[in-house]
Amino acid sequence: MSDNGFEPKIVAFLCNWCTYTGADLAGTSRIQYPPNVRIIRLMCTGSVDPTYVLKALLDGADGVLVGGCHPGDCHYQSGNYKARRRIIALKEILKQAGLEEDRVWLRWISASEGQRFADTVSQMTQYLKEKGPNPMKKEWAV
Amino acid sequence: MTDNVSIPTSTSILVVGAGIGGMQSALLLAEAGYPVVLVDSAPGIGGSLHLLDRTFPTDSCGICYMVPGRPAYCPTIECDLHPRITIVPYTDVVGLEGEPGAFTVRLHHRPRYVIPERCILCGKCARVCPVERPGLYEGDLAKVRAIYRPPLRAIPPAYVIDMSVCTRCGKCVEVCPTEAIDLDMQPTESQVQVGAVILSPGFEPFDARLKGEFGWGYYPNVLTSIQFERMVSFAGSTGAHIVRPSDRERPRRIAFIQCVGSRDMSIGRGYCSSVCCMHTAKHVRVVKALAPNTEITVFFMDIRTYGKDYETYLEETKALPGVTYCRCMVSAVQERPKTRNLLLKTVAEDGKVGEEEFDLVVLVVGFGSPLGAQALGQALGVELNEYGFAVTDLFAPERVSRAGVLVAGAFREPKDIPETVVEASAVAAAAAALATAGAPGAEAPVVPEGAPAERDVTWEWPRVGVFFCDHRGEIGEVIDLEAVAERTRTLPNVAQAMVVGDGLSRQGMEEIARIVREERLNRVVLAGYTDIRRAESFAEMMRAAGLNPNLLELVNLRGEVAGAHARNGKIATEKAKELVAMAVAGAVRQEPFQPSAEPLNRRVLVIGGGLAGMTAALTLADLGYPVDLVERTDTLGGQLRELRTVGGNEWREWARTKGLSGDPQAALITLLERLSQEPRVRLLMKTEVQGVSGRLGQFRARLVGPKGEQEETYGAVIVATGGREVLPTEYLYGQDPRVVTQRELEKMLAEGKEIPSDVVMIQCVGSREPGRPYCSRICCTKAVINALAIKERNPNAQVTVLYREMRTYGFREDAYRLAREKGVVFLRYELPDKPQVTAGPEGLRVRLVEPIAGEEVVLPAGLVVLSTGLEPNDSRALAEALGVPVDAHGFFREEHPKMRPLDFTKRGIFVCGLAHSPRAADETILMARGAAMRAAALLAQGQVEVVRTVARVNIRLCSACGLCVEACPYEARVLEPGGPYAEVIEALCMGCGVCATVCPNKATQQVGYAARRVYEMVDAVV
Repeated sequence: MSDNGFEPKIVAFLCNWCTYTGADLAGTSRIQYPPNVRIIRLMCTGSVDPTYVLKALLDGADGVLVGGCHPGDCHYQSGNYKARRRIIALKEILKQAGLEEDRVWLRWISASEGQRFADTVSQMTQYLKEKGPNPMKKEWAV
Repeated sequence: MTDNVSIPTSTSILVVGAGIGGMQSALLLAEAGYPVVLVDSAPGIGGSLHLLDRTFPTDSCGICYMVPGRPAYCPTIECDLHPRITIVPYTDVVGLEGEPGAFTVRLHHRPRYVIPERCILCGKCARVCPVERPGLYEGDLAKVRAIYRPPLRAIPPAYVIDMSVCTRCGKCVEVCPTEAIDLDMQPTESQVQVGAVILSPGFEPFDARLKGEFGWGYYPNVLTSIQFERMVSFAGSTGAHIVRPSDRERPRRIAFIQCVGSRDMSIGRGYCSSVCCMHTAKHVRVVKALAPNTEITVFFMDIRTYGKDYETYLEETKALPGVTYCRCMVSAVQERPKTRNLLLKTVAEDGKVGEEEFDLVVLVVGFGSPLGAQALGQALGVELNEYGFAVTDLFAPERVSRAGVLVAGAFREPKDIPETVVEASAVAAAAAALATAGAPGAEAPVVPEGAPAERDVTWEWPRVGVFFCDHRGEIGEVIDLEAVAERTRTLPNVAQAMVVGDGLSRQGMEEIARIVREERLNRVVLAGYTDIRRAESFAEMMRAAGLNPNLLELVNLRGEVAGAHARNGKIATEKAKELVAMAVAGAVRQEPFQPSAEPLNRRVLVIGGGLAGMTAALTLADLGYPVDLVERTDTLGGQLRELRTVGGNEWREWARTKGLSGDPQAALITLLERLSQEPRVRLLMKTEVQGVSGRLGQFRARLVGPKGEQEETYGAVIVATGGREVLPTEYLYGQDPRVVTQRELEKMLAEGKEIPSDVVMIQCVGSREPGRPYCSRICCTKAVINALAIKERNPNAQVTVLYREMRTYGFREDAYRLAREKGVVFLRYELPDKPQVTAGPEGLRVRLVEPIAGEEVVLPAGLVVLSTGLEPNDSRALAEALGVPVDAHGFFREEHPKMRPLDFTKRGIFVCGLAHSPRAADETILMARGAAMRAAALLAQGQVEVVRTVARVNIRLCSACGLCVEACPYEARVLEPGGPYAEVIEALCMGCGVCATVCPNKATQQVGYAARRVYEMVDAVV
């Protein structure tokens, strides 16, 4: 499916210290990126409950972005490693259940990487535009 | 931050230079209760922090770990957030009068030509500016305009004009929407009264143009390591794509040339820059990660990876495929005109001349003294050495020639980040002791006058008030705030939605508080300009409104919408509506939170009575804290007792300006005298720490001493258990009296004993080999100094040093060069061909295979001196009792090797001295003072305040499965054996929320971030 006016909706769970600060930096530095992302700020990616991701997908979000500190930079020692394990497991489960695991992206973006945040949102928006809407949209009531 | 600073109190401390060191000192002092004036000559603070996004040996950033206390933002932001730190950018110190404790400092403020408070970073000015200048780090690779933005994380976040290139065309003034630009701004001066001055102006990278033979500046594909650092950075000029500047192609072969502008007397820089070997190793790894097929050759003289775990890092780097380390000199770089490839002319160790072609060449540039160092030295009356670095004493390494002025970081000597963090912590202690300690400690929170008591909203139906606030029109020019407000009014639970103009102003906040009170709103959403720096003001606004601060949700319309979608107001407005709806859904789920606090015992336990422990104890006593100093043996002094000064007056004068000379025994006597007179330090000799329980603020230690067992309570613990010389088991040591260690030689020299005229020294005995793979750091320097002392007494003595790499880092390199000049012979050997020592009737013989010629050399020796390594005292039992880790070699494992070298993850416990890693006396003193300061900054809080995002347990739902206990990185979750439910130790909880995530019953919830809130926020936008 190509770009036919479809605007995907991305829910982003970002950690407070690195990726959210990076996202803020992108905005305050006037780096332009697609408006498709809705950010929910959490203290750490280690507190991204897989049910948050599932909930967003079942609600009909076209993509879920989880963004945290680079490996080694977690402000809580190891939250990003925990997130990485969980998201890998979750993606495997999604795949097994016949759901589209490639709608879930995990990215490391530091507080100074405003450009990288903007690029990530651009890439994800483009990817989802090509992929098309989340088929679960309107199929479920959660 | 203002142009005119006047803080009329001598409890203030001036910090000059706001890089990693300066910010570290400032943050610690501010935490400890002292007002800090943080001055930087650059337009924004941060220093070299802006250069780096990955550091060795972790290959990650981690810069935020240097902030004391809790998890934090970037230190630039934290300095800005701290109420006791006044940031004064673009300012030089031009005069210093008065005495320690009562200085008057004259400051010269350079004109920025942009008013920071008005600049909204829209960038319109730079788009119309017709003049270009080289970028700060990138040089010509990424030019900027005459009006440019300092590095992204610099504070204040505002543009600045480089008037040396500005043509004063006035185009920027015309387009600036906030009238922030003033081309007629004049320099100003001001004065501050401070108790002490800390100098941490950092370093200046070597200007590679001075080594013209390498072609930097003419050949586009020759870069400096600074330019390359930015190239491999995700936030840098190419976004971590390694390209040749000439054709934007990916280079296949990269050469690194070490020691450009270091160890080179032809340009007047005899010293070693200490950092570059590891810097290059990091670059090699980063290149191999980004472009694995790249072939890399590193040309070097010696590899100096002397820091903790650095040797392992180097070995791993060398073992990477396609990486060659080549011990040879590069005499020149030439460009091939067609391909723009570079031809390196090399001279190998054996004198063979060679040529090699590369696609890209990186010159690893050394550290010079900072720009303006001479002027600074003159203004403050601080003595600088021949290279322009501050002169300090071996046993008072933080002090300079002017009393009351302290120096930290690369301005003392080129150095790496961990040392800078340590020194910056140490000088903070010295400055705090000098500044007349007014009343350091937590101040009472300012409750706004006449603020009503918090209303209990538990049983009220949610009534959300949504307030839209702009800042200098930045948001309103993109988003139709009235339209968003109109849509918001239709949302469930919203009782009020209105635009309040400038919501950040005092009137704006008072207005919001009034409306909340009058309309009995019980949740507030603030949408618009929600700068985190205003968090405390927002909390005050809530209190003034009679509501708990946790009943507030913020919507960052500036960062998430207005800035990022500035060109499409319609889309931005639609997005803003959704974000506000999401926040309203979240606000409804917010609940009041009253942070609690736990008491903090002021007494500190220092374990180990060596140089580190004694220094730490005295430093804490100077700051007013009571200390128990526990020593296992019956004597104080530890390894310091074993050290002697060698060399005559000539050497001492020469070594003074390099910080290499000092009398250890005199220093020991001073310490012992001070300890005996210090009432705040209680000495517990022949005492061991048997068990430690409890936590930060209330550690309970079981001490076993001559008088039996006692239990004491401490607020913090400093581990200074020390180390010792490794006793050799080879080279006939212990079998032949003519084989001694460096320390034994040192004593012989100090006692004036006869030294034979042919001496052979063997380096790396018990270091850098299987079993003890780390470098012991101090042995090369010690060998060189002892060799010089022998030569000083008997110029005809034949001294030969058998070495693997000479690691005379920093100014120690000068001593190494001096030794060669005086005729000390240095011969290299390589593993596995270790030297052989044999004793025969005619004396000792040392054989070695000389690796260049491959021939065996036999040296007669009247004395063989073994440079033995250092190892830690066995502290595994103590580590277990304290609940802190040790590494494979028995050294204590700090929280973060780069940014937090003095702390453990377990709060309230600190480490210093040989218990951390091998180090020299001056480095030990600094580390001990640093550890003491970190403990003091913690204890100055008076109590342990609980974080606002603490985890809480609903005990009725808890099934005591213990998953939270395993997940918590801070030991804040506990489940007593057989206990009915898992608890949260709130004082230890850092508020990450990971335990809430693993809880299968959702019994644990994080304050402010309950799962229900997130679910409803998701529902609101999808």
